[in-house]
Amino acid sequence: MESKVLRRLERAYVILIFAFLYVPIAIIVIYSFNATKSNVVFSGITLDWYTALFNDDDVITALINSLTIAAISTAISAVIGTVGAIGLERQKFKGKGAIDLLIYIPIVIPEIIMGISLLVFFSALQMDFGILTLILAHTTFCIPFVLINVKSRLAGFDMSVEEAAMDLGASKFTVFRTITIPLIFPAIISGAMLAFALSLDDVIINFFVSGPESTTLPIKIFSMLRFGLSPEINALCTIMLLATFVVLILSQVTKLKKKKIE
Amino acid sequence: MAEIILEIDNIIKKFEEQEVIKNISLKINKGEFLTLLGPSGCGKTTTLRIIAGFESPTSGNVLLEGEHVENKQPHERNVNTVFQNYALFPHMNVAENIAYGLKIRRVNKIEIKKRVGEMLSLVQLEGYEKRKIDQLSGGQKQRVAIARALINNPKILLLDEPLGALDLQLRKQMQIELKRLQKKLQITFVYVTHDQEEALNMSDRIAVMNKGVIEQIGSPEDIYERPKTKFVAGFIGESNLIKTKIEKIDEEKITVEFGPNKISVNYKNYDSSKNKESYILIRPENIKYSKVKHQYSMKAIIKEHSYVGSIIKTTMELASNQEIKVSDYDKKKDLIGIGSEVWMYFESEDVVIVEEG
Amino acid sequence: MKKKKVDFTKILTIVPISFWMLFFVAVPLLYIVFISFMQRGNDGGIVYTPTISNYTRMGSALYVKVFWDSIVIAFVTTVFALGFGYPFAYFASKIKKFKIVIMLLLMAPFWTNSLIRTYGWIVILSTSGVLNHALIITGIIKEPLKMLYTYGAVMIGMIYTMFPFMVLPLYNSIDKMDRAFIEAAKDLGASRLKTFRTVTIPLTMPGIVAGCILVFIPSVGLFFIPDLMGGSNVMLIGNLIRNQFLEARDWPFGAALSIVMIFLSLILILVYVKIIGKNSDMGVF
Repeated sequence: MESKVLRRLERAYVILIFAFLYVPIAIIVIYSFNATKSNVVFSGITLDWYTALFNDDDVITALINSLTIAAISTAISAVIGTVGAIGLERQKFKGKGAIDLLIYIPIVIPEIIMGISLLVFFSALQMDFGILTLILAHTTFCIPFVLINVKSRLAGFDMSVEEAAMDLGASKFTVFRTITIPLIFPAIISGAMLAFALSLDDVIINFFVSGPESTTLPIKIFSMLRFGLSPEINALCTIMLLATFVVLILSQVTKLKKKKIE
Repeated sequence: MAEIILEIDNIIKKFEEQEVIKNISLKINKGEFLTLLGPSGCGKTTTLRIIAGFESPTSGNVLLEGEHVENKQPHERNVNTVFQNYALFPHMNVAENIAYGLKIRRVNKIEIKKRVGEMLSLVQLEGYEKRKIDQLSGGQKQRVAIARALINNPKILLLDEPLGALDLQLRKQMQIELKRLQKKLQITFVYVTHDQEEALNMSDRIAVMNKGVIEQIGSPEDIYERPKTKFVAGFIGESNLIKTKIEKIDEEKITVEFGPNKISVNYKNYDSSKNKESYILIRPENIKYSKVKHQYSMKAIIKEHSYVGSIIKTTMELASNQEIKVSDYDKKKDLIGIGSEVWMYFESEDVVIVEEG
Repeated sequence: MKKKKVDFTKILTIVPISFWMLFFVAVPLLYIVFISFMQRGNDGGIVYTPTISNYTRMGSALYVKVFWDSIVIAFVTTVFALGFGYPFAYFASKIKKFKIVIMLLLMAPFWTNSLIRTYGWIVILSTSGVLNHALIITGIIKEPLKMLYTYGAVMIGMIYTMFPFMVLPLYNSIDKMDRAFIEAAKDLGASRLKTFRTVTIPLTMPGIVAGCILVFIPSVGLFFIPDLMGGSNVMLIGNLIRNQFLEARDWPFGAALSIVMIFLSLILILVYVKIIGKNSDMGVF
């Protein structure tokens, strides 16, 4: 079949590319523990930069803001997305095609377009830019992720269990509560987790719809970068990477669990 | 005098523009085992779903114990269904599945536990309370589905081809069990299947359906021995249908043509619709053949003998090129060779006249 | 009775999502189109007198260059991402052992902050960064190279950031492909190259198209990579648009730029999809 040499080369290529992908990240993480400010010479392990972060009020505020916005946006988009997925998957109505299309727009268009359109829109409504506008904006791009995830789960859904529940005496709402939701729950969760991570990591949209009082973590990193490199940035990035990675693993675990139920 | 528990009255059902049920009327007796039998697409499952409440008829009425239910939701009728693919709730275990109907009705926990236990005994699955659904075999899932439906003491139990996914031996076993269960509980069963043997086996009455209408309702014996239409004759059991014309109708008998001859068949008040083709029906087990000519016989050439275990199946061809099937339980008899000319014959009392449906 | 109940559920499941999408997606976008035909007020606001001057402005050489540069960079990014990404996805999908780990590693960049990943390269490429340090130490160069604030740096940043967006759809598509097709082609006498061209490529085309679109579109509008890695030396559409909205405060012009950007992207994608459709032997979509 295939020669061993070829196989080895293929593997090497894969490893090389993975290295290319992860070396920059590794450098950030490693140097966040560097005793000196240098990003080159490694002189010793320290947690100074992390403690500096915790003492930096701006950073803490930004962190709290980011988490709050992510949590609320995720919650709202989970509800609207789930309910909307059920509507789009199972109902027929005029304009359904249009709404179906609109769902994909936040995912497909460049974020900058979403950012400026919301900026202009909120201005026209004379809204103050701050946590509220951020939440509204984040929810808008989070909804499609939850919705599409739940919708695809619904597509393969065996309706006969819902009919069985009705047959046994459950009203439509009870069926929804006791049968539908438990069965699509993993899809809701994995969609919500993706939404959470995207909200936490968003840079471009935050640029346009945040206000002076409402910095988010990615914006904070950006402005810190403007001032020049420092290990504090490394530390901050490392924390964010960790958080995102944890959410990612949790969501994949949920997906695997779901496969077992079916 | 049998009590009528369900009445289906002139039901028509259209899906978009297509008529799936053209017109059906049916009266079901309390405690009976009634089967809706027919090929795919005949409307039997749709009829069942109308009774259950998953579809509403385009027009017509459904009366459950005299009450109109055609517009009631499934959960408002005291009728339960056993689904074709069982539709067990994957996120609940066996006990939770069975208890679902009671939980909805807010029956207390102790009562639930007791009744679930009774149901499990009834379907011979004692001890299976905590089992996960995906750990069950097809036959076990079947029984959980039945228990889940029966625990609610429904007025009617609807079964939608419940045994289709099981292998032959298991299917035969379950047929016996279902029949036993029905007799024991005395609940009305409405059963849907395309398997005519199953229908003959289990039912008190069979309604044979074709293309959205009921062609005939009757006991298994009625349906088999005295089918009214060509379709029913062909669908149940094996049949030989020879085209014929009705010559004369008397009060107690009718005379039909048979080749160059005529046959007189006993029929009380035969009702013949005009312009419908008629056929002579004789079941393969009622045809004999020999070298000797008999009263009602036709010349035929033997084509094939098949040994099918319990019977010998012989195929022969008439002069009109029509194939005749004969089955004989006597396996010890000497078989007349292939290609030989014989006389195939039968008794007039084994003849049934059927019409095009 | 029955009909009424259906309506209630219908309303509940349709209204929230429709309202939100219309109000927060459709309307703002339409508004952008609207103001692209308006004029800038003296204090940075919008004067509602219709004009097409925003669009005609873009005809000048300066702006054409910006558009052109952006498209070229996006295009080159896509090509590189595809060129390096396809073999990567192909070889990676062959590895059966640590599939879950591989999937996680492939998805992680998708989920993490692209800003952070860009930062990593800034650290590497800066004058006091890792790469320069390594080159000086090994004596290859005497003075640190100025690698940041060049088009090259921007390219590396873009390719690096967008690479996972190409690889993930490719991987999924390649992984889904039934190897039996390849075996069948080989069985019928096709050489490896021919099999690749006539079987593998058409069958993985959905992944290729998805990957290219997922890379190209954001690439056109990404502004912080040129910002951080190109500084003022590199001006792309994204930066231009951002400036109009946050600094120059010429919203109508910014809106017009955005509209043109979307149009160009859409047209290019349509052209791309048409070309692929024609040349794909099997036309598997």
